[in-house]
Amino acid sequence: MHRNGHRHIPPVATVHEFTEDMVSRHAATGPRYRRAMLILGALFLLGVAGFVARALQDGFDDRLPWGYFAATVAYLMTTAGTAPLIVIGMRAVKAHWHRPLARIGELYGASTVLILAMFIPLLFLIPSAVNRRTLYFQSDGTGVPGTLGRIPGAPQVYDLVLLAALVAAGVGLLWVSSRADRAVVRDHKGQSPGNWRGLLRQWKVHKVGLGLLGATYFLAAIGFISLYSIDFSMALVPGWRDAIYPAFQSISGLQGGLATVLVTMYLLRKYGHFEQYIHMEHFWAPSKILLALCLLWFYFGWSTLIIYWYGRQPVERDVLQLLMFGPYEWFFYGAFLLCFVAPFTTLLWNSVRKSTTGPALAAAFILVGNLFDKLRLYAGSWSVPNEQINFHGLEGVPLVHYPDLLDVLMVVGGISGALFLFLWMARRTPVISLWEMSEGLRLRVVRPFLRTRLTVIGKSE
Amino acid sequence: MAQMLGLFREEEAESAANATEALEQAGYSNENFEILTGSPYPEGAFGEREVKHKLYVFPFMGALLGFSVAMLVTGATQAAYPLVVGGKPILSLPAMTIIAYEGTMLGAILFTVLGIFFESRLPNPNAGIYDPRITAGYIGITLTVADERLNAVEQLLRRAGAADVIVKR
Repeated sequence: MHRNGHRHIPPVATVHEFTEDMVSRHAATGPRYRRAMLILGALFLLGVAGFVARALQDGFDDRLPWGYFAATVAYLMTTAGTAPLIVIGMRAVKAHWHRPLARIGELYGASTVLILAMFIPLLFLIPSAVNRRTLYFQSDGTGVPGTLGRIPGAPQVYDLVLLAALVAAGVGLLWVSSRADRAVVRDHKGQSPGNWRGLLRQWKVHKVGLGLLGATYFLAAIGFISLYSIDFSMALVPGWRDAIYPAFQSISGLQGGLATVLVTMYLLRKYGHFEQYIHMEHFWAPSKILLALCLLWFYFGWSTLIIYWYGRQPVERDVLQLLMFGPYEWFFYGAFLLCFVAPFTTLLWNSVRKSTTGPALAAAFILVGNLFDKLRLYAGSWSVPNEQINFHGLEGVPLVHYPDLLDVLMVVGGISGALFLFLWMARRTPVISLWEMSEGLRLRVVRPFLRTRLTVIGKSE
Repeated sequence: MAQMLGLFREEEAESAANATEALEQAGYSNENFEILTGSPYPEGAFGEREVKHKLYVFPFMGALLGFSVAMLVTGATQAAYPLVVGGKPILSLPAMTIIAYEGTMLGAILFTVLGIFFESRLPNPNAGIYDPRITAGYIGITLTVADERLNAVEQLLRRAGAADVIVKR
């Protein structure tokens, strides 16, 4: 702190100091890092074993045993899968504080590959669009061999297409962004020069490419969250027709993505000893956005509730029972408490926001709350018998389906898999973006101003 | 002809900018030399020409292609089995929107990645002269020089403040 209690501006490293430090850190892997990878890898393998056991035990005919697995895919999509969106957004508005966060978000882009791998088995568990109300077409379902439905393959093929686009954008984003940094590591190791040379043309294409891939990632991610929430939960529950729900899940995704980045950044700072580069301002600035997202989470959740609550049709009451106040009520209360009440009351105070621990704590609440939210939505909707899919409403609210050991293994294994992938990719490219930080360090100086000191940031455009 | 690379220390970036001016005065136009840096500098920092590229065309073309294929798939399948549903027209655009959106996204993303490859000249087996000090913060100016002017250009770069000059024949 400054001598009169004002904020202290940490010393600014030179580009050379920063690069040398980061390259030496990247070259060394500590025992704690290796231990974390080992544990996460083992948990992931247990998750795979749980998946295989579930497939052998229950097959792919009945949806009920797979509800928690479907919830895990939704959870990964709305946390790791949306983490790159935060970087994309902050880069688009040229917020300088995004620089230490950037690679963290981009590394999570690789987790889309895991999401795709987990998503494919789910395609065999949801019914086709034939003979039921869907987002796509009301298919004719004549049942006559050789005749087409109105759109073949709906909805499975089209959900897969959008996820494939998302994977291409996520992996592409990471690849493009890390090219220059991989060249730095390559040169320090004395390896043969690759195609990246640092030409001004390459930098220009790099910058524009990141913008374009970022924009398309954003559109694909929000689109996929919307489709997944419709086709893999809402369309499975008769009587549940909610236009707000896809938008609610998209907001939940933005909230979860930012929370993922903040918690990762906190752990990186604390256990990776990156205090020199990750400062309080990097938590303070996004914490205000997180606060706004908590309010939006409440607004969308409340809008969903109030429409059904006022409607009071038996069909609507059954939907509220299934998703909120019935068999999965504790998941709902947990989600409400941890996605809204706890983070909101934490981030309400400027002194808490203006710290590294406060925003990280609120983000940790959200990550747990988001899991509860997905469990209540997917375990609930996947417990509805398939025979009811064309009914006007639920024929009674299904009983709670408690998770068994295999469910726990798959949920923990899926989350561990995404974290393992993050750590594994972080061994291949520096976890803090060298080119972006170097650019920022070059444009930033600390100048005295009267009795205090100010950070002066150069803006080239 | 030989390729030449002048290397300037990061803290002497001003010298690199001066060198580009000196090269222009010596008859090398802005299009004859390239600047290499380990991290991005603000555009125009070295007095270089504006970099032209066509990357924006790629996602546009991809999006157009993806959109067209999606409309073809949805339109053709509806036309193949013309069944009026709920009094809606056979070719109902709202129902085609989602698939058209997906096709547009997929096309735009794939073409953007291809465009980055193409516009970055990657892969490029005939990449020009390079030195690992670039990624350590040095600024490089590379150009192709006729044999008879090698000494003159090397002296020019050194006078401007180059820490090292590398020549590759």
